[in-house]
Amino acid sequence: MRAGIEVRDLTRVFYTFDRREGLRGAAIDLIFPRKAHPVFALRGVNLTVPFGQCVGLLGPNGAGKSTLIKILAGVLHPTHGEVRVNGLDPWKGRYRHRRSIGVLFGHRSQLWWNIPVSESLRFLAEIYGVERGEFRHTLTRLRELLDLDPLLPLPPRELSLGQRMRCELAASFIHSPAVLLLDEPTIGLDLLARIRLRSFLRDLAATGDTTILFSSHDLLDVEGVASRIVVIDKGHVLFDGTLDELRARYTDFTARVTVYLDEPASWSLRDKLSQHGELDWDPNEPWVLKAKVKHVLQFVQELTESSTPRDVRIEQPSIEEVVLALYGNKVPHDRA
Amino acid sequence: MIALRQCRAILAIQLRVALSFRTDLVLQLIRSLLSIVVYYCLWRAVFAAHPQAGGLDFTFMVAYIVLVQVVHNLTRPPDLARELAQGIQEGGIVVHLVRPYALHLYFLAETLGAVAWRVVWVALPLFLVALALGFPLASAAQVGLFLASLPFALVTNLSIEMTLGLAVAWLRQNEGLIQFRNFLQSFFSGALVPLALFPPPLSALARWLPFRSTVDVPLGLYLGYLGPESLMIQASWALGLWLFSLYLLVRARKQLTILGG
Repeated sequence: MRAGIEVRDLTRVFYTFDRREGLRGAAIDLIFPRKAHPVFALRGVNLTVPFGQCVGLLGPNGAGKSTLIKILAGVLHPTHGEVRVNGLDPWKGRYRHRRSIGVLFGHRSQLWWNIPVSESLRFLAEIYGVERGEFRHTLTRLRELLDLDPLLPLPPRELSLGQRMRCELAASFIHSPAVLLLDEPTIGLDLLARIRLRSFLRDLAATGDTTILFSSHDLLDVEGVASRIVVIDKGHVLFDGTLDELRARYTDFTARVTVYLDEPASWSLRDKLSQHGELDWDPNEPWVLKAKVKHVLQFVQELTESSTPRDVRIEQPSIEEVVLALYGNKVPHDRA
Repeated sequence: MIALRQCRAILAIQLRVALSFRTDLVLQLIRSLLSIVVYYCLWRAVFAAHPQAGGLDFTFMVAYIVLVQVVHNLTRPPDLARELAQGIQEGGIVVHLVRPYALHLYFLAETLGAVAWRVVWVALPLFLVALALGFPLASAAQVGLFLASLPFALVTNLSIEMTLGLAVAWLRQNEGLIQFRNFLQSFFSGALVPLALFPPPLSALARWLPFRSTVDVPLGLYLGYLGPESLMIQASWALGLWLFSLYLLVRARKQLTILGG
């Protein structure tokens, strides 16, 4: 089987300088050499994505998601290790590699700010050497999938973030790349825009013609879209498996339950409920319980048996909590 | 073949983008015209006090100051050193790096796009104004050499811009460098004062710097005080600086650090 993405033992190190503090420190820095120390953005990452698979790359801020995508896109040079995208080395097979990938960075625009989106797309097709007929065909498909018709005549500066992201996706896909690399495509989008983006990715993944790797720091984004989830933190792969496998461990993740009570609750209730997890109790504030997902149901049951809460809110575990759960008991020192 | 198609596409984009900044083109024409008027008055005063200053005459000077503006408009790239610096500092450069073209090709096309508009909106009107002022027409051979030297002047300018922009990968900012270059180039290119009027040590220095390729050489070829051999020197500078900026790009890409998006 041909691999869409192959990453072997990938490490990327950045160097930062110890800066001395304050004005005096800055003056000393000018004269004496500063101490450089390495920061590992990626440490020995291994990842093989078969052709046509859709992979969700999850991790908190600073996990190394962006660095991995930039190395796959050929923007950053790996310090160590091997990378193949569509069988091509991003660093050596430059232009052939670039033509076979589509890239979207959630916080950058690849469209020309002051000219209509339709013209930007046509220019991009020219740059990628897309034939006229093929371009028309792709554009028709994208117009339908992303509902572009009202947006095409407008310049990006007149679009909302959600609208612009739809156009950015079209721009990344205008040359029908075999591999699509999306770096935080949902950043800053509202729920509706995210649902739309997810359905586009789901449709695209269903065809099996495109290998997709997209990063996010929200669990919600990968559900129903990615058939495989990779969780990274501190440059390590913490989890690599299907969504079901991640769900199997889901009950160990920590959820937040907020309870709104009308009347003050008794001490006995409080003691009983705090057995389920970490209870934040303040007479003037709603209660907040942090508990493992598997204990939440029992907590709510006991709560409703012995009191009448006005409202109970349960929040999904955040990626930080998933990461903590994946570390199990071996929480590294620099985290925790 | 694909590179040619890409180049054409980038050129089309740049022409399109420039069209949304029409005020800039008008301002450039006004600036160039004002510049000619100011220098005209200045040099007329100089020649009134010292006829034949430095062995030059006033007709020569009028042609010189008009040509400086024409050459500027036909060979000066947009503000690429700052554009590139911003791209490297803020990470916007990634948008170019994930596309299948050489960064140099993109910036060359961007420059040609800017120049193409200036041919129509600035250089041509300037030339017509100059003719009305009694601008001396050169021989066909001189005009030919002049035209041949323009691409080399453009590539020299472009390479210097790219070099200054890429320097940000090491220096983290380049504003001081740009200001320094602006000073050196306006002086040693011959744009302010003809190199013939420089004291000997300075004119010798100017001969060894690349800046004269951008103004003095094209002007010398048109006005006939330089021969075809200076075209060769100019071409060497253009090629050398171009290769150097390519080399810098390769080095800068390797140590590029763009974290967090």
